[in-house]
Amino acid sequence: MRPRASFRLAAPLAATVASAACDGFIRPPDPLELDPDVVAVAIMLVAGEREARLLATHPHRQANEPPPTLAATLEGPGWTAAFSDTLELRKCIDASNWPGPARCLRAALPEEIRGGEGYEIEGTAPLGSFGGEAVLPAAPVLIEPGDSLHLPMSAEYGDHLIPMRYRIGDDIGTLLADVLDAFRMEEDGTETELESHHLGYFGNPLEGTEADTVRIHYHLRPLRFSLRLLGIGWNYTNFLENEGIFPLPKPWPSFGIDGEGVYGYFDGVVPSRATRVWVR
Amino acid sequence: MMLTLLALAAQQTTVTGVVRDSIGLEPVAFAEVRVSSAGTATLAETGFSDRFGAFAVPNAPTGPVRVEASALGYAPWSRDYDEPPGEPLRILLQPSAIELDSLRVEPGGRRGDPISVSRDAFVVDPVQIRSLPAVLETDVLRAIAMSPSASAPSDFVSVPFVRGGTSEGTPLLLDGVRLFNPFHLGGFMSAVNAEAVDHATLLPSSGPGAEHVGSLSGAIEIVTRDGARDRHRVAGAVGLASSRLSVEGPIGGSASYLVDGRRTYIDLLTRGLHRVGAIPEHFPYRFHDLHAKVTKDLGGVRRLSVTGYLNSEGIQYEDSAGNSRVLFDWGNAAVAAHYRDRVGSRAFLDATVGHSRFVNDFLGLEDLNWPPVDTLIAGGGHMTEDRADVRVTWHAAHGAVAAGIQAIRFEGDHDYGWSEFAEILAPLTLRAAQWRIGGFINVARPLGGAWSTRAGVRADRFPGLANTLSPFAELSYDGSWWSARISAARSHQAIASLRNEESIGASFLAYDLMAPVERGPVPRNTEMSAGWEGAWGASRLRLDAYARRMEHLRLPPVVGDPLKETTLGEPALRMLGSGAARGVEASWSWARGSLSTVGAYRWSRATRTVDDFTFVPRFHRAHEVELGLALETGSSTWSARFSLRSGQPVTPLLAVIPAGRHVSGGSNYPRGRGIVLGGDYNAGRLPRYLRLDLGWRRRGDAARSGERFFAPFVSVNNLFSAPNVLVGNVRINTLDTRDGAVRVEREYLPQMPMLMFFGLEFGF
Repeated sequence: MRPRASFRLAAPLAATVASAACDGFIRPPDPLELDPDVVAVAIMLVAGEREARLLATHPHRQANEPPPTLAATLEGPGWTAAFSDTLELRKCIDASNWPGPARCLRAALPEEIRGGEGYEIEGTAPLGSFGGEAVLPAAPVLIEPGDSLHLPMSAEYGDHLIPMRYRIGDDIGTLLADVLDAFRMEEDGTETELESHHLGYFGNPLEGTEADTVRIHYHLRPLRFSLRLLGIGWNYTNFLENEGIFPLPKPWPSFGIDGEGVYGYFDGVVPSRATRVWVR
Repeated sequence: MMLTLLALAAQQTTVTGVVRDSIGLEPVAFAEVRVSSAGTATLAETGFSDRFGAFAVPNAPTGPVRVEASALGYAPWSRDYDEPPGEPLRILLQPSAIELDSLRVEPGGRRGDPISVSRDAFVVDPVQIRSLPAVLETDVLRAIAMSPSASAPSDFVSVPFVRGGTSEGTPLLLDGVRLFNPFHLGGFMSAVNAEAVDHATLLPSSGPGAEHVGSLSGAIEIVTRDGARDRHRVAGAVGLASSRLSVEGPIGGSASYLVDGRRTYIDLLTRGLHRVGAIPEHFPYRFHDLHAKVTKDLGGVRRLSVTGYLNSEGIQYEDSAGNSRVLFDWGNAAVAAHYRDRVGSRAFLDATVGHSRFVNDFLGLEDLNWPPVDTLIAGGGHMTEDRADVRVTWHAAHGAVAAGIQAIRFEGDHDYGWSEFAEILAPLTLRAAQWRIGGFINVARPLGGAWSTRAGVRADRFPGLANTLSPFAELSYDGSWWSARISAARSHQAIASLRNEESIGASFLAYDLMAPVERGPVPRNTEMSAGWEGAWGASRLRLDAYARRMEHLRLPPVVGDPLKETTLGEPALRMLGSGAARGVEASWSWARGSLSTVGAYRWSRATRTVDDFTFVPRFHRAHEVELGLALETGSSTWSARFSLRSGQPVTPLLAVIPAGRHVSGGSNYPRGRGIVLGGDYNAGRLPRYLRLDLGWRRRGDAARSGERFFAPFVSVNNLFSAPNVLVGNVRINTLDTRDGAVRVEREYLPQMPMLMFFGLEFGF
C-alpha cells in the first residue's frame, strides 16, 4: 500500500474511534453487595444516668424490613443488666435520617454510670455473638470560666466567644462543649427554653489540649444557660476518626465492640462541672 | 581461577577491534565477530561487540584466518588474513537498505527483537521503540515496559517497576550517569529524547550483568548514539504536545557530535485556546530537554565521549485578579565523560566520570491581596550524584574477567517548610550525603562440555554506615538451540525513597525525592532465578522464574486509606520494612515476512512488610500479558499493542456502619454518615485491565542511508475506550436512605481514556 493511501486509511479510522472518546471511558460504579444480617450498634453510656441505651440497626436492609433481633447485657461493677426494654426510636436517634430498620433498647441500671469505671457488654445477634468493653474516662476538669460568667449583650450582631481552660486526662479521646438549661428572656419578661442547637453546634471536638474557645450564637435577647465539657473515650473517637471513602482495613483500632457481624462502638461520656452563663 | 586464566592467555592470540556503521561510522553494538581458520572452518572462535562497538575474540586460530562479522540490519562482512591481526581491526558494516527499518530475521537475532541480543536483559532499539503505537510521542520507557519484568504502576506513569521493586531501586543511567526523575508531565512521558537513543537495556536482576550498578532492582541503561561521522544530518518530530530536533555530524575526521532537544508548547497552546475562549483555563506548564554528545575516535578501540543533559519543567501561574501565584520549577542536569582504551592485547579499560543533579523549587501563594499571605507550599531542594568508575574487561582464552572500582557520592537536600498539599508532599527537612566506595570483579568461563559459569563479588564501603559484600553466581548450560541457567545474587543500596506507593498520588506522579540511608542496616536484595531460552528460526522464547527478598527497606507505616497517605512524606516516619517477590515470566518474539510480534506474560506475587504487617502493594498486578504486533506494508508500518492485566489490589468492603457525632441533649446518635469497614488490606482486586493501542507510521530511519524522509504517525490509545480503573473508592448513597437501606457502590478513578495522537517525524 502506498504511503498516501495508508494515511488516507489511517486518518478516518482514527477520527472515527476518536469520536467515541468521550463516551463511556469511565467505568460506571459497581454495586457492592453487603450482608443484610449485619448489625450496627451504638452504645454511649452517660455518666450520672441510671440507664443505658443501645441502638441496633440492620444498615444493609430496607427500612420496611424487621429490625434486628438482638439480646445483650451490660455488666458493671458487681451487677448485670439486660437490654430488655424497647424505647421509641427517637430516644436513640433521629430516625428520619437513619437508614435501615432500627431498634432502640434500654437497660435499667442499679446505680449511676460512673466516670473512670469499666463496663462490659455481651450479646448475640443474627450472625453470632459479640462483646466489648469500655472504660469511661475521668471527668474533665473545667478551670475557666468559674461557677458563673456574665457576658454583655453586644450592640452589633456577632457570636459570643467564651474562652475555656480545662485539664483532661489521656483517657479522653474527644472533648466536647455542651450547653444545657438554656433560656432566652423575652420582652414581656417570660423565658423561652431553647434547644442547645439554637445556641450553636457542639458536635465538633475542642482541639486545644488545655484551652479552647466556644462560640455561642447571637440572639437579640438576653440568654442564660449552663456550659460544661463532655469527655468521651477512645472507642468512639477511633470510630469517627476512620470515616472515609476507602474501606478501613483490618486490624481496626478498638471501637469497644468485637463480634461476628456486629460492628459499631461502645463508649461513654463524662461531663465536667457546669458554669452558669448570663448574656445580658 | 584468575591465575589459570592468566597463564592460558599468554599462549593465545586475541583479535580485537571495533565494528562501525559504514556510513555514519557509529559503533555497532551486539555484532557477532567470528575468527576461523582459513583451512579448517571448524576451528573458529566468536565474540560480540559491546555497546561501544568494541570486540575481542580470544583464543583465535593461528595461521591464515577469516574474520567475519554480522550484525542486525547490516550486510555480512568478511576478510581473510595471512595470520590473526595483532592491531585492532576496524570493521565497517554496510547497512542493508531493505532491512534498515525491517523486522527481518538475522542470524543471531534481529532488529526490533528485545530478547535476541542479551540473555541478561531486555534490549529495545529504535526499531522496537517505533514498532509500538506512540503514546503522545515515541517513548523509550514505555517500550521497556513491554518486558515481563517491568510494570508501570498506571497509564499515567511511564517509569517501570521491576520485579516487585520500586523505582528508587532501578536507577536510570544515561551514558553511565544516573538521571533523577527523567520524565515529563508527572511521569507520563520519559525525558530522554527517542531521537538520541541507540538502545535501552532493562536489567531485571541485580546479579549477572548488573553488578556494576549496585542497585536493589536492576537498572535501565540508555546508550545514546555517537552522531554521524559522514555528514551533517537533521532529524526531528512535530507532535501534539512538543517538538524535537536533533542535529549531528562530523567534527574533523575522527570526531562527531549529536545535539538534540525538545520543547513543549502545551503552555502556548492552552494560552491561545484560552484567549479565544475554547477552554476555561490556561495550563501554564512547560518543559524542555536538551542532550548533547561529542565523541572522539582515538584510533582502534580507543575513544572519548562527553555527554551533557539538561531537562527543565515548570508551572508559572498568576491569576488575573492577582490573588494567587504559583512558581514551580524543577529539572535535572547531568554530564558524563567516558574514556575507552585497550590494555595489552586483550583487555579493555573503561573510565567514566559523571555528575547529575535534580533541583526543584516550589512556591505557591494565595490571598495576595489580603494580608497575611497564605502560603500553600514553599520549599525546594536538590539531589546530586557524583561518580567515578574505572573498569577493566579482560578477554581470556577461556572466559572473561571484569573488574572495576567505583566512587559515588549521593546527596539529598530537601527543605519544604510549608505544604498544604498534604496528600502529595508533607513538610520535611532533610540534608544528608553518603559516599559509596566499591569494587567488583566477576569471571565468566566455560566448565567443559556445554556448561559454563559466571561468578563475582562486589564489595562496598559506605563510610560511617556499613561495609557490604554482594556476591553472585550463575551456572548455565548451552544446548544447540536452547540454553538454561540458574543464578543467585545479593545486592545493596544505601539510597531510600520518600515515596509512598500506597498513596493515590503515586499512581499519577512518578517523581521521587530520595535520601541517603543514614543509619544501618543497609537495604539489601537477595534473589534466585532460573531461566531457559530457545530459538527456532524466527521464533524465540525466554522463560524466567525468580524469587527475591528485599530487606531493611525504609517504608512508611500503612494508614490504609490511599487518600490519607502522603505521596512524598517525612523520612523520619519511615520504618524498617521488607519486601518479597516471586514470579514466572515468559517473553517471546516471532517474525515472518513483514509481520513480527513481541510478547510477554508474567505471573508474580509481591508483598511488603512494615511494622509486622504484610500486604500486597497497590501497584502490584498478579497477571500481565503484553503483546506487540508490527506489520509492514509498502512504506507503512502498522503496529498494535495489546495489554491484559489483572486488577490492582483494593481493600474489600465488609460493612457500612452509620455514624455521627455525639451531641448531648439532641439526638445522641448520628445523621446519615457512615464508617466504611473493610477486610484485610488490599486483599481484593479491582476489575481487570484491558487495552488495545493501534498505530500507523510511515517508515522512517531512511536518513541513515542518506535519504530525506517525512514520516507521519498516528496512534489511538485504548481503541475501544475500555474503562480501565486506577483505584476504587466506596460511595454511600444516602439520599434515598430514608426509606431504604444504605446503597453502596464502588466508583473508580479512570486510567487513560481513548486518545489519539499524531505527529510527523522527519530527517534530512
